[in-house]
Amino acid sequence: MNKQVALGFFAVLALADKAAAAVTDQKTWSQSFPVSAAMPRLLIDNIWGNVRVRIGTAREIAVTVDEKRSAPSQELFELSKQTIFLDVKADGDGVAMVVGKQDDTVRPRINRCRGCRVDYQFEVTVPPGTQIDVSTVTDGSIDVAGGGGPVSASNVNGPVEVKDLQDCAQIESVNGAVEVAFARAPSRDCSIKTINGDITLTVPGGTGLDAALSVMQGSVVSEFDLEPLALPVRIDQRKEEGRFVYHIEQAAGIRLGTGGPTFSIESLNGDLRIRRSK
Amino acid sequence: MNTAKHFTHTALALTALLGAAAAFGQAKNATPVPATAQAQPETITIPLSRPGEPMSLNIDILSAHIEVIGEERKDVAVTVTLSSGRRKIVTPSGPKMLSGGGSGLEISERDNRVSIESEAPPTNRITIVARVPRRATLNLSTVNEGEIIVRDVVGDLELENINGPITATNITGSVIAESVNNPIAVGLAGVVAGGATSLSSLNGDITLTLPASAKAELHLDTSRGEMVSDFELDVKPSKPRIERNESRGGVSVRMEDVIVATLNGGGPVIRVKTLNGTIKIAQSGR
Repeated sequence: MNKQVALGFFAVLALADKAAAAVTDQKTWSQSFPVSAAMPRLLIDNIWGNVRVRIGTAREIAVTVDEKRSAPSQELFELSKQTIFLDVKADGDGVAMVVGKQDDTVRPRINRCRGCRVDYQFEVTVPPGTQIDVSTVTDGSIDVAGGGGPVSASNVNGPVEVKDLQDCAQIESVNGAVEVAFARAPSRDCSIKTINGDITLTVPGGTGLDAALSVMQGSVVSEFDLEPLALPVRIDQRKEEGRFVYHIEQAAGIRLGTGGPTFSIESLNGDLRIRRSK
Repeated sequence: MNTAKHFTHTALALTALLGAAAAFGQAKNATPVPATAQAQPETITIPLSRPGEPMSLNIDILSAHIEVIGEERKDVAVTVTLSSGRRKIVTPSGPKMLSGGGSGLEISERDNRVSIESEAPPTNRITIVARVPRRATLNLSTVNEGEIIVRDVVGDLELENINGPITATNITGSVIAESVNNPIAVGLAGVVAGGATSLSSLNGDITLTLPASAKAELHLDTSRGEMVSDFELDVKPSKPRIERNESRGGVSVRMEDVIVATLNGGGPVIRVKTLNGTIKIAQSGR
Protein backbone atom coordinates (compact mmCIF):
# COMPACT_ATOMS: atom_id res chain seq x y z
CA MET A 1 0.00 0.00 0.00
CA ASN A 2 2.99 2.22 0.41
CA LYS A 3 4.08 4.47 -2.31
CA GLN A 4 7.61 5.57 -2.69
CA VAL A 5 7.27 9.27 -2.59
CA ALA A 6 9.14 10.82 -5.46
CA LEU A 7 9.83 14.31 -4.45
CA GLY A 8 10.92 17.36 -6.27
CA PHE A 9 13.31 19.26 -4.14
CA PHE A 10 13.09 22.97 -4.75
CA ALA A 11 16.08 23.88 -2.76
CA VAL A 12 18.78 22.16 -0.85
CA LEU A 13 21.00 24.08 1.43
CA ALA A 14 23.63 22.63 3.65
CA LEU A 15 25.99 24.79 5.55
CA ALA A 16 28.07 24.61 8.62
CA ASP A 17 27.80 27.43 11.07
CA LYS A 18 31.20 27.23 12.66
CA ALA A 19 30.35 29.71 15.39
CA ALA A 20 27.44 27.59 16.59
CA ALA A 21 28.92 24.34 15.31
CA ALA A 22 25.58 23.83 13.53
CA VAL A 23 24.77 22.07 10.32
CA THR A 24 21.53 22.87 8.57
CA ASP A 25 19.71 21.69 5.52
CA GLN A 26 16.51 23.12 4.10
CA LYS A 27 14.32 21.80 1.32
CA THR A 28 10.79 22.13 0.11
CA TRP A 29 8.81 19.54 -1.76
CA SER A 30 5.29 19.11 -3.06
CA GLN A 31 3.27 16.04 -3.89
CA SER A 32 -0.33 15.27 -4.79
CA PHE A 33 -1.97 12.03 -3.71
CA PRO A 34 -5.20 11.00 -5.45
CA VAL A 35 -7.86 9.64 -3.11
CA SER A 36 -10.90 7.54 -3.90
CA ALA A 37 -12.64 7.14 -0.53
CA ALA A 38 -15.85 9.09 0.07
CA MET A 39 -14.40 10.35 3.33
CA PRO A 40 -10.64 10.29 2.89
CA ARG A 41 -8.37 10.67 5.89
CA LEU A 42 -5.53 13.04 6.56
CA LEU A 43 -3.20 12.30 9.44
CA ILE A 44 -0.29 14.60 10.29
CA ASP A 45 1.79 14.00 13.38
CA ASN A 46 4.40 16.73 13.56
CA ILE A 47 6.91 17.68 16.24
CA TRP A 48 8.37 21.07 15.29
CA GLY A 49 6.50 23.45 13.02
CA ASN A 50 3.15 24.49 11.62
CA VAL A 51 0.33 22.51 10.12
CA ARG A 52 -2.02 24.36 7.79
CA VAL A 53 -4.91 22.60 6.07
CA ARG A 54 -7.32 24.03 3.52
CA ILE A 55 -10.16 22.56 1.49
CA GLY A 56 -9.81 22.17 -2.25
CA THR A 57 -12.07 20.82 -4.96
CA ALA A 58 -10.02 18.02 -6.51
CA ARG A 59 -10.17 14.43 -5.27
CA GLU A 60 -6.61 14.58 -4.11
CA ILE A 61 -4.58 15.53 -1.09
CA ALA A 62 -1.96 18.06 -2.12
CA VAL A 63 0.96 18.50 0.19
CA THR A 64 3.74 21.05 0.35
CA VAL A 65 6.33 20.49 3.02
CA ASP A 66 9.13 22.81 3.98
CA GLU A 67 11.78 20.87 5.87
CA LYS A 68 14.61 22.42 7.83
CA ARG A 69 17.05 20.02 9.45
CA SER A 70 19.68 21.15 11.93
CA ALA A 71 22.21 19.49 14.20
CA PRO A 72 25.12 20.64 16.35
CA SER A 73 27.67 18.70 14.26
CA GLN A 74 28.02 16.89 10.97
CA GLU A 75 28.06 13.56 12.78
CA LEU A 76 24.81 14.31 14.56
CA PHE A 77 23.41 15.75 11.37
CA GLU A 78 23.92 12.38 9.67
CA LEU A 79 22.47 10.60 12.69
CA SER A 80 19.43 12.86 12.59
CA LYS A 81 18.56 11.56 9.15
CA GLN A 82 18.08 8.12 10.64
CA THR A 83 16.24 9.25 13.72
CA ILE A 84 14.11 12.19 12.62
CA PHE A 85 12.42 11.94 9.27
CA LEU A 86 9.04 12.25 7.70
CA ASP A 87 7.31 8.98 7.05
CA VAL A 88 4.64 9.31 4.41
CA LYS A 89 2.08 6.65 3.61
CA ALA A 90 -0.67 7.13 1.10
CA ASP A 91 -3.37 5.12 -0.56
CA GLY A 92 -6.86 5.69 -1.87
CA ASP A 93 -8.15 6.13 1.65
CA GLY A 94 -5.90 9.01 2.46
CA VAL A 95 -2.49 10.21 3.53
CA ALA A 96 -0.60 9.78 6.79
CA MET A 97 2.53 11.85 7.47
CA VAL A 98 4.30 11.21 10.71
CA VAL A 99 7.56 12.73 11.87
CA GLY A 100 9.67 9.78 12.88
CA LYS A 101 8.54 6.38 11.79
CA GLN A 102 5.09 5.01 12.24
CA ASP A 103 5.80 2.84 15.20
CA ASP A 104 6.16 3.54 18.86
CA THR A 105 9.89 3.00 19.09
CA VAL A 106 11.10 5.96 17.13
CA ARG A 107 10.47 8.97 19.28
CA PRO A 108 12.68 7.64 22.07
CA ARG A 109 15.38 7.32 19.41
CA ILE A 110 15.11 11.03 18.73
CA ASN A 111 16.56 11.64 22.14
CA ARG A 112 19.80 9.98 21.02
CA CYS A 113 20.36 12.83 18.63
CA ARG A 114 20.80 15.63 21.15
CA GLY A 115 20.43 19.11 19.74
CA CYS A 116 19.02 17.80 16.47
CA ARG A 117 15.71 19.01 15.18
CA VAL A 118 13.76 19.01 11.97
CA ASP A 119 11.11 21.64 11.46
CA TYR A 120 8.38 20.64 9.05
CA GLN A 121 5.96 23.29 7.82
CA PHE A 122 2.96 21.53 6.30
CA GLU A 123 0.65 23.18 3.75
CA VAL A 124 -2.06 20.72 2.76
CA THR A 125 -5.16 20.90 0.60
CA VAL A 126 -7.75 18.16 1.00
CA PRO A 127 -11.01 17.26 -0.74
CA PRO A 128 -14.31 18.27 0.88
CA GLY A 129 -15.45 15.77 3.49
CA THR A 130 -11.96 14.73 4.53
CA GLN A 131 -11.52 13.41 8.05
CA ILE A 132 -8.68 15.50 9.45
CA ASP A 133 -6.44 14.54 12.36
CA VAL A 134 -3.44 16.83 12.76
CA SER A 135 -1.01 17.59 15.56
CA THR A 136 2.24 19.29 16.36
CA VAL A 137 4.24 19.70 19.52
CA THR A 138 6.27 22.87 19.61
CA ASP A 139 7.23 26.02 17.72
CA GLY A 140 4.22 25.75 15.50
CA SER A 141 0.56 26.44 15.10
CA ILE A 142 -2.34 24.40 13.88
CA ASP A 143 -4.53 26.16 11.34
CA VAL A 144 -7.32 24.15 9.79
CA ALA A 145 -10.27 25.18 7.65
CA GLY A 146 -12.70 22.30 7.85
CA GLY A 147 -14.80 21.10 5.01
CA GLY A 148 -17.38 18.55 5.98
CA GLY A 149 -15.43 15.84 7.72
CA PRO A 150 -14.79 15.70 11.43
CA VAL A 151 -11.63 17.43 12.61
CA SER A 152 -9.24 16.54 15.39
CA ALA A 153 -6.40 18.96 16.06
CA SER A 154 -3.87 19.23 18.83
CA ASN A 155 -0.86 21.25 19.81
CA VAL A 156 1.31 21.25 22.88
CA ASN A 157 3.13 24.56 22.85
CA GLY A 158 1.19 26.73 20.49
CA PRO A 159 -2.24 27.79 19.31
CA VAL A 160 -4.90 25.81 17.49
CA GLU A 161 -7.32 27.50 15.13
CA VAL A 162 -10.00 25.51 13.38
CA LYS A 163 -12.62 27.31 11.32
CA ASP A 164 -15.43 26.68 8.83
CA LEU A 165 -16.17 23.52 10.72
CA GLN A 166 -19.13 21.26 10.32
CA ASP A 167 -18.13 18.88 13.10
CA CYS A 168 -15.17 18.35 15.37
CA ALA A 169 -14.00 15.48 17.55
CA GLN A 170 -11.16 16.75 19.68
CA ILE A 171 -9.48 20.15 19.54
CA GLU A 172 -6.83 20.79 22.14
CA SER A 173 -3.67 22.52 23.19
CA VAL A 174 -1.63 22.54 26.37
CA ASN A 175 0.02 25.95 26.24
CA GLY A 176 -1.89 27.87 23.65
CA ALA A 177 -5.17 29.47 22.71
CA VAL A 178 -7.83 27.38 20.99
CA GLU A 179 -10.24 28.92 18.50
CA VAL A 180 -13.02 26.83 17.04
CA ALA A 181 -15.50 28.30 14.58
CA PHE A 182 -18.38 26.43 12.96
CA ALA A 183 -19.85 27.10 9.54
CA ARG A 184 -23.09 25.45 10.63
CA ALA A 185 -24.70 24.16 13.79
CA PRO A 186 -22.63 21.14 14.85
CA SER A 187 -24.27 17.73 14.94
CA ARG A 188 -21.64 15.71 16.81
CA ASP A 189 -20.13 15.77 20.27
CA CYS A 190 -16.75 17.44 20.57
CA SER A 191 -14.06 18.02 23.16
CA ILE A 192 -12.25 21.37 23.28
CA LYS A 193 -9.55 21.98 25.83
CA THR A 194 -6.38 23.74 26.78
CA ILE A 195 -4.45 24.14 29.99
CA ASN A 196 -3.01 27.61 29.56
CA GLY A 197 -4.89 29.67 27.03
CA ASP A 198 -8.20 31.18 26.06
CA ILE A 199 -10.88 29.21 24.26
CA THR A 200 -13.10 30.89 21.69
CA LEU A 201 -16.06 28.95 20.35
CA THR A 202 -17.98 30.54 17.49
CA VAL A 203 -21.29 29.07 16.31
CA PRO A 204 -24.08 30.39 14.08
CA GLY A 205 -27.25 31.87 15.54
CA GLY A 206 -29.91 29.26 16.15
CA THR A 207 -27.39 26.62 17.17
CA GLY A 208 -28.63 24.05 19.67
CA LEU A 209 -25.85 22.80 21.91
CA ASP A 210 -25.19 21.44 25.39
CA ALA A 211 -21.79 22.07 26.93
CA ALA A 212 -20.01 20.79 30.00
CA LEU A 213 -17.69 23.55 31.17
CA SER A 214 -14.66 23.07 33.33
CA VAL A 215 -13.07 26.50 33.36
CA MET A 216 -11.09 26.91 36.53
CA GLN A 217 -9.32 30.27 36.40
CA GLY A 218 -10.92 32.59 33.93
CA SER A 219 -14.09 34.32 32.92
CA VAL A 220 -16.87 32.91 30.77
CA VAL A 221 -18.55 35.30 28.38
CA SER A 222 -21.29 34.41 25.90
CA GLU A 223 -22.93 36.34 23.12
CA PHE A 224 -25.87 33.94 23.45
CA ASP A 225 -28.41 33.82 26.22
CA LEU A 226 -27.65 30.48 27.80
CA GLU A 227 -29.57 28.37 30.26
CA PRO A 228 -27.81 26.64 33.16
CA LEU A 229 -27.89 22.89 32.79
CA ALA A 230 -27.48 20.42 35.64
CA LEU A 231 -25.13 17.69 34.46
CA PRO A 232 -24.74 14.35 36.17
CA VAL A 233 -21.54 13.56 38.01
CA ARG A 234 -19.11 11.87 35.67
CA ILE A 235 -16.87 9.03 36.85
CA ASP A 236 -13.90 7.94 34.76
CA GLN A 237 -11.80 4.92 35.59
CA ARG A 238 -8.33 4.20 34.28
CA LYS A 239 -5.17 2.28 35.16
CA GLU A 240 -2.12 4.50 35.46
CA GLU A 241 1.39 3.48 36.45
CA GLY A 242 0.22 0.36 38.19
CA ARG A 243 -2.57 1.96 40.16
CA PHE A 244 -6.28 2.21 39.58
CA VAL A 245 -7.49 5.78 39.34
CA TYR A 246 -11.07 6.97 39.55
CA HIS A 247 -11.80 10.56 38.60
CA ILE A 248 -15.07 12.10 39.69
CA GLU A 249 -16.18 15.42 38.36
CA GLN A 250 -19.26 17.45 37.80
CA ALA A 251 -18.94 20.03 35.09
CA ALA A 252 -20.99 23.20 34.92
CA GLY A 253 -23.60 22.75 32.25
CA ILE A 254 -25.00 25.22 29.78
CA ARG A 255 -27.57 24.87 27.03
CA LEU A 256 -27.73 26.92 23.88
CA GLY A 257 -31.12 27.08 22.25
CA THR A 258 -32.95 23.80 22.62
CA GLY A 259 -29.81 21.77 23.18
CA GLY A 260 -28.03 19.37 20.87
CA PRO A 261 -24.70 17.60 20.79
CA THR A 262 -22.61 17.78 23.93
CA PHE A 263 -19.38 19.72 23.95
CA SER A 264 -16.81 19.26 26.68
CA ILE A 265 -14.89 22.51 27.18
CA GLU A 266 -11.96 22.63 29.58
CA SER A 267 -9.47 25.32 30.44
CA LEU A 268 -7.36 25.73 33.54
CA ASN A 269 -5.88 29.18 33.05
CA GLY A 270 -7.82 31.06 30.44
CA ASP A 271 -11.10 32.65 29.47
CA LEU A 272 -13.92 31.06 27.52
CA ARG A 273 -15.76 33.11 24.93
CA ILE A 274 -18.82 31.83 23.12
CA ARG A 275 -19.46 33.92 20.06
CA ARG A 276 -22.12 34.20 17.39
CA SER A 277 -20.92 33.90 13.78
CA LYS A 278 -21.00 37.22 11.96
CA MET B 1 -1.97 3.70 6.47
CA ASN B 2 -2.41 0.35 8.11
CA THR B 3 0.32 0.88 10.65
CA ALA B 4 0.75 0.54 14.38
CA LYS B 5 0.63 4.30 14.68
CA HIS B 6 -2.58 4.39 12.79
CA PHE B 7 -4.02 1.67 14.98
CA THR B 8 -3.10 3.82 17.96
CA HIS B 9 -4.87 6.76 16.48
CA THR B 10 -7.85 4.62 15.63
CA ALA B 11 -7.94 3.29 19.18
CA LEU B 12 -7.71 6.80 20.55
CA ALA B 13 -10.43 7.94 18.22
CA LEU B 14 -12.62 5.03 19.32
CA THR B 15 -11.93 5.86 22.96
CA ALA B 16 -12.82 9.46 22.29
CA LEU B 17 -15.96 8.42 20.51
CA LEU B 18 -16.93 6.11 23.37
CA GLY B 19 -16.24 8.90 25.85
CA ALA B 20 -18.19 11.28 23.74
CA ALA B 21 -21.02 8.79 23.51
CA ALA B 22 -21.02 8.44 27.28
CA ALA B 23 -21.05 12.20 27.70
CA PHE B 24 -23.82 12.43 25.14
CA GLY B 25 -25.82 9.87 27.07
CA GLN B 26 -25.27 11.85 30.24
CA ALA B 27 -26.30 15.05 28.57
CA LYS B 28 -29.52 13.48 27.42
CA ASN B 29 -30.30 12.90 31.08
CA ALA B 30 -29.52 16.49 31.87
CA THR B 31 -32.24 19.03 32.17
CA PRO B 32 -32.21 22.76 32.64
CA VAL B 33 -32.45 23.40 36.36
CA PRO B 34 -31.97 26.27 38.75
CA ALA B 35 -28.32 27.09 39.24
CA THR B 36 -28.56 26.32 42.93
CA ALA B 37 -29.17 22.60 42.38
CA GLN B 38 -27.00 20.38 44.60
CA ALA B 39 -25.03 17.43 43.31
CA GLN B 40 -26.32 13.99 44.18
CA PRO B 41 -24.12 11.54 46.10
CA GLU B 42 -22.21 9.03 43.96
CA THR B 43 -20.86 5.76 45.34
CA ILE B 44 -17.77 4.07 43.92
CA THR B 45 -16.56 0.69 45.05
CA ILE B 46 -12.77 0.37 44.97
CA PRO B 47 -11.42 -3.19 44.87
CA LEU B 48 -8.24 -3.71 46.88
CA SER B 49 -5.10 -5.30 45.43
CA ARG B 50 -4.93 -7.70 48.39
CA PRO B 51 -8.45 -8.17 49.69
CA GLY B 52 -8.65 -9.22 53.30
CA GLU B 53 -5.31 -7.71 54.25
CA PRO B 54 -4.83 -4.43 56.14
CA MET B 55 -5.19 -1.36 54.01
CA SER B 56 -4.53 2.34 54.33
CA LEU B 57 -6.65 5.31 53.41
CA ASN B 58 -5.21 8.76 52.83
CA ILE B 59 -7.51 11.75 52.34
CA ASP B 60 -6.11 15.25 51.95
CA ILE B 61 -8.65 17.85 50.84
CA LEU B 62 -8.85 21.53 51.73
CA SER B 63 -12.58 21.71 52.40
CA ALA B 64 -14.20 18.42 53.16
CA HIS B 65 -16.55 16.58 55.43
CA ILE B 66 -14.79 13.24 55.89
CA GLU B 67 -16.44 10.23 57.45
CA VAL B 68 -14.75 6.82 57.61
CA ILE B 69 -16.54 3.74 58.88
CA GLY B 70 -14.87 0.39 59.51
CA GLU B 71 -16.92 -2.64 58.43
CA GLU B 72 -16.54 -6.33 57.71
CA ARG B 73 -15.71 -5.94 54.02
CA LYS B 74 -12.85 -6.53 51.59
CA ASP B 75 -13.15 -3.44 49.45
CA VAL B 76 -13.65 0.26 49.94
CA ALA B 77 -16.92 2.00 49.14
CA VAL B 78 -16.63 5.74 48.76
CA THR B 79 -19.71 7.93 48.59
CA VAL B 80 -18.89 11.37 47.28
CA THR B 81 -21.01 14.48 47.14
CA LEU B 82 -19.38 17.26 45.20
CA SER B 83 -20.25 20.78 46.11
CA SER B 84 -22.03 23.06 43.71
CA GLY B 85 -19.39 25.32 42.30
CA ARG B 86 -20.48 28.82 41.56
CA ARG B 87 -19.38 29.68 38.07
CA LYS B 88 -20.53 33.00 36.69
CA ILE B 89 -21.19 33.36 33.00
CA VAL B 90 -21.78 36.72 31.37
CA THR B 91 -24.61 36.73 28.82
CA PRO B 92 -26.43 39.49 26.91
CA SER B 93 -29.21 39.44 29.49
CA GLY B 94 -26.77 39.75 32.36
CA PRO B 95 -24.65 37.43 34.45
CA LYS B 96 -25.95 33.96 35.29
CA MET B 97 -24.70 31.52 37.89
CA LEU B 98 -24.00 27.93 36.93
CA SER B 99 -23.87 24.97 39.25
CA GLY B 100 -21.10 22.40 39.05
CA GLY B 101 -17.76 22.90 37.45
CA GLY B 102 -16.10 23.68 40.72
CA SER B 103 -14.53 20.58 41.99
CA GLY B 104 -13.19 17.24 40.96
CA LEU B 105 -11.95 14.36 42.98
CA GLU B 106 -9.44 11.62 42.29
CA ILE B 107 -9.36 8.27 44.04
CA SER B 108 -6.49 5.88 43.45
CA GLU B 109 -5.57 2.46 44.73
CA ARG B 110 -2.23 0.69 44.66
CA ASP B 111 -1.10 -2.19 46.84
CA ASN B 112 -3.99 -1.71 49.31
CA ARG B 113 -3.23 1.97 49.66
CA VAL B 114 -6.19 4.13 48.76
CA SER B 115 -5.70 7.84 48.28
CA ILE B 116 -8.37 10.50 47.79
CA GLU B 117 -7.29 13.95 46.65
CA SER B 118 -8.81 17.02 45.11
CA GLU B 119 -7.46 20.13 43.49
CA ALA B 120 -10.71 21.93 44.07
CA PRO B 121 -10.39 25.45 45.43
CA PRO B 122 -11.07 25.80 49.16
CA THR B 123 -14.45 27.40 48.51
CA ASN B 124 -15.79 24.10 47.19
CA ARG B 125 -16.76 21.69 49.92
CA ILE B 126 -16.75 17.96 49.27
CA THR B 127 -18.46 15.33 51.38
CA ILE B 128 -16.83 11.90 51.53
CA VAL B 129 -18.17 8.85 53.33
CA ALA B 130 -15.73 5.93 53.04
CA ARG B 131 -16.63 2.43 54.21
CA VAL B 132 -13.41 0.51 54.71
CA PRO B 133 -12.32 -2.89 56.05
CA ARG B 134 -12.10 -2.74 59.82
CA ARG B 135 -8.31 -3.19 59.82
CA ALA B 136 -7.16 0.07 58.31
CA THR B 137 -4.57 2.78 58.76
CA LEU B 138 -6.05 6.21 58.25
CA ASN B 139 -4.44 9.53 57.45
CA LEU B 140 -7.15 12.15 57.09
CA SER B 141 -6.61 15.87 56.68
CA THR B 142 -8.77 18.87 55.93
CA VAL B 143 -8.62 22.58 56.67
CA ASN B 144 -11.88 24.44 56.26
CA GLU B 145 -15.59 23.99 56.77
CA GLY B 146 -15.28 20.31 57.40
CA GLU B 147 -15.57 17.64 60.01
CA ILE B 148 -13.66 14.41 60.45
CA ILE B 149 -15.60 11.44 61.80
CA VAL B 150 -14.17 7.93 62.19
CA ARG B 151 -15.69 4.89 63.80
CA ASP B 152 -15.19 1.15 64.26
CA VAL B 153 -11.60 0.99 62.98
CA VAL B 154 -8.73 -1.21 64.12
CA GLY B 155 -5.51 0.55 63.18
CA ASP B 156 -3.46 3.68 63.56
CA LEU B 157 -5.11 7.00 62.84
CA GLU B 158 -3.66 10.40 61.98
CA LEU B 159 -6.41 13.00 61.89
CA GLU B 160 -5.91 16.69 61.22
CA ASN B 161 -8.66 19.26 60.94
CA ILE B 162 -7.58 22.86 61.29
CA ASN B 163 -10.95 24.57 61.55
CA GLY B 164 -13.35 21.78 62.31
CA PRO B 165 -14.07 19.08 64.88
CA ILE B 166 -12.66 15.57 65.01
CA THR B 167 -14.69 12.65 66.32
CA ALA B 168 -13.36 9.09 66.47
CA THR B 169 -15.27 6.32 68.24
CA ASN B 170 -14.65 2.63 68.88
CA ILE B 171 -11.03 2.78 67.76
CA THR B 172 -8.50 0.09 68.55
CA GLY B 173 -5.10 1.53 67.86
CA SER B 174 -3.15 4.74 68.22
CA VAL B 175 -4.71 8.08 67.40
CA ILE B 176 -2.90 11.29 66.61
CA ALA B 177 -5.52 14.01 66.31
CA GLU B 178 -4.90 17.71 65.85
CA SER B 179 -7.28 20.60 65.54
CA VAL B 180 -6.72 24.31 66.01
CA ASN B 181 -10.11 25.81 66.68
CA ASN B 182 -12.48 22.95 67.39
CA PRO B 183 -13.12 20.09 69.78
CA ILE B 184 -11.69 16.61 69.55
CA ALA B 185 -13.54 13.55 70.84
CA VAL B 186 -11.78 10.18 70.71
CA GLY B 187 -13.16 6.92 72.05
CA LEU B 188 -10.73 4.03 72.30
CA ALA B 189 -11.97 0.46 72.52
CA GLY B 190 -8.59 -0.48 73.90
CA VAL B 191 -5.18 1.03 74.52
CA VAL B 192 -2.58 -0.60 72.32
CA ALA B 193 0.92 -1.09 73.62
CA GLY B 194 3.54 0.59 71.50
CA GLY B 195 1.10 3.02 69.96
CA ALA B 196 1.55 6.76 70.40
CA THR B 197 -1.73 8.49 71.04
CA SER B 198 -1.75 12.26 71.13
CA LEU B 199 -4.73 14.61 71.06
CA SER B 200 -4.12 18.32 70.76
CA SER B 201 -6.17 21.41 70.11
CA LEU B 202 -5.53 25.09 70.56
CA ASN B 203 -9.02 26.42 71.20
CA GLY B 204 -11.17 23.33 71.54
CA ASP B 205 -12.29 20.92 74.23
CA ILE B 206 -10.88 17.41 74.17
CA THR B 207 -12.77 14.34 75.29
CA LEU B 208 -10.98 11.00 75.59
CA THR B 209 -13.21 8.01 76.26
CA LEU B 210 -11.64 4.81 77.51
CA PRO B 211 -12.96 1.42 78.69
CA ALA B 212 -13.17 0.97 82.46
CA SER B 213 -10.26 -1.50 82.37
CA ALA B 214 -7.94 0.63 80.23
CA LYS B 215 -4.37 0.89 81.46
CA ALA B 216 -2.58 4.07 80.45
CA GLU B 217 -0.33 6.86 81.54
CA LEU B 218 -2.02 10.15 80.80
CA HIS B 219 -0.09 13.34 80.15
CA LEU B 220 -2.66 16.11 80.47
CA ASP B 221 -2.05 19.75 79.70
CA THR B 222 -4.58 22.57 79.56
CA SER B 223 -3.48 26.11 80.16
CA ARG B 224 -6.79 27.88 80.55
CA GLY B 225 -9.33 25.12 80.91
CA GLU B 226 -10.29 22.54 83.47
CA MET B 227 -9.87 18.78 83.61
CA VAL B 228 -12.70 16.38 84.34
CA SER B 229 -12.38 12.62 84.74
CA ASP B 230 -14.78 9.71 85.21
CA PHE B 231 -11.81 7.66 86.45
CA GLU B 232 -10.00 7.81 89.70
CA LEU B 233 -6.67 9.05 88.46
CA ASP B 234 -3.46 8.40 90.28
CA VAL B 235 -1.73 11.73 89.80
CA LYS B 236 2.01 11.52 89.96
CA PRO B 237 4.02 14.35 91.38
CA SER B 238 5.61 16.27 88.57
CA LYS B 239 7.46 19.50 88.06
CA PRO B 240 6.95 22.00 85.28
CA ARG B 241 9.21 21.14 82.37
CA ILE B 242 11.33 24.05 81.28
CA GLU B 243 13.20 24.06 77.98
CA ARG B 244 15.73 26.74 77.23
CA ASN B 245 16.91 27.29 73.68
CA GLU B 246 19.55 29.67 72.52
CA SER B 247 19.64 30.57 68.88
CA ARG B 248 20.50 33.55 66.71
CA GLY B 249 21.75 35.44 69.68
CA GLY B 250 18.44 35.14 71.55
CA VAL B 251 17.12 32.88 74.24
CA SER B 252 13.68 31.29 74.33
CA VAL B 253 12.25 29.61 77.38
CA ARG B 254 9.35 27.19 77.10
CA MET B 255 7.52 25.92 80.14
CA GLU B 256 5.06 23.05 80.14
CA ASP B 257 3.08 22.16 83.21
CA VAL B 258 1.89 18.66 82.38
CA ILE B 259 -0.11 16.55 84.79
CA VAL B 260 0.91 12.91 84.66
CA ALA B 261 -1.68 10.44 85.91
CA THR B 262 -1.89 6.68 85.68
CA LEU B 263 -4.99 4.72 84.99
CA ASN B 264 -5.40 1.22 86.39
CA GLY B 265 -1.75 1.07 87.25
CA GLY B 266 -0.43 2.70 84.09
CA GLY B 267 0.34 1.68 80.54
CA PRO B 268 1.09 3.28 77.18
CA VAL B 269 1.39 7.07 77.23
CA ILE B 270 -1.54 9.13 75.99
CA ARG B 271 -0.93 12.84 75.58
CA VAL B 272 -3.84 15.28 75.73
CA LYS B 273 -3.19 18.97 75.31
CA THR B 274 -5.31 22.07 74.75
CA LEU B 275 -4.66 25.72 75.37
CA ASN B 276 -8.15 27.16 75.77
CA GLY B 277 -10.35 24.14 76.34
CA THR B 278 -11.49 21.54 78.82
CA ILE B 279 -10.04 18.05 78.97
CA LYS B 280 -12.47 15.30 79.84
CA ILE B 281 -11.44 11.70 80.47
CA ALA B 282 -14.66 9.74 80.09
CA GLN B 283 -15.42 6.09 80.78
CA SER B 284 -17.18 4.03 78.10
CA GLY B 285 -20.78 3.21 78.85
CA ARG B 286 -21.25 5.94 81.41
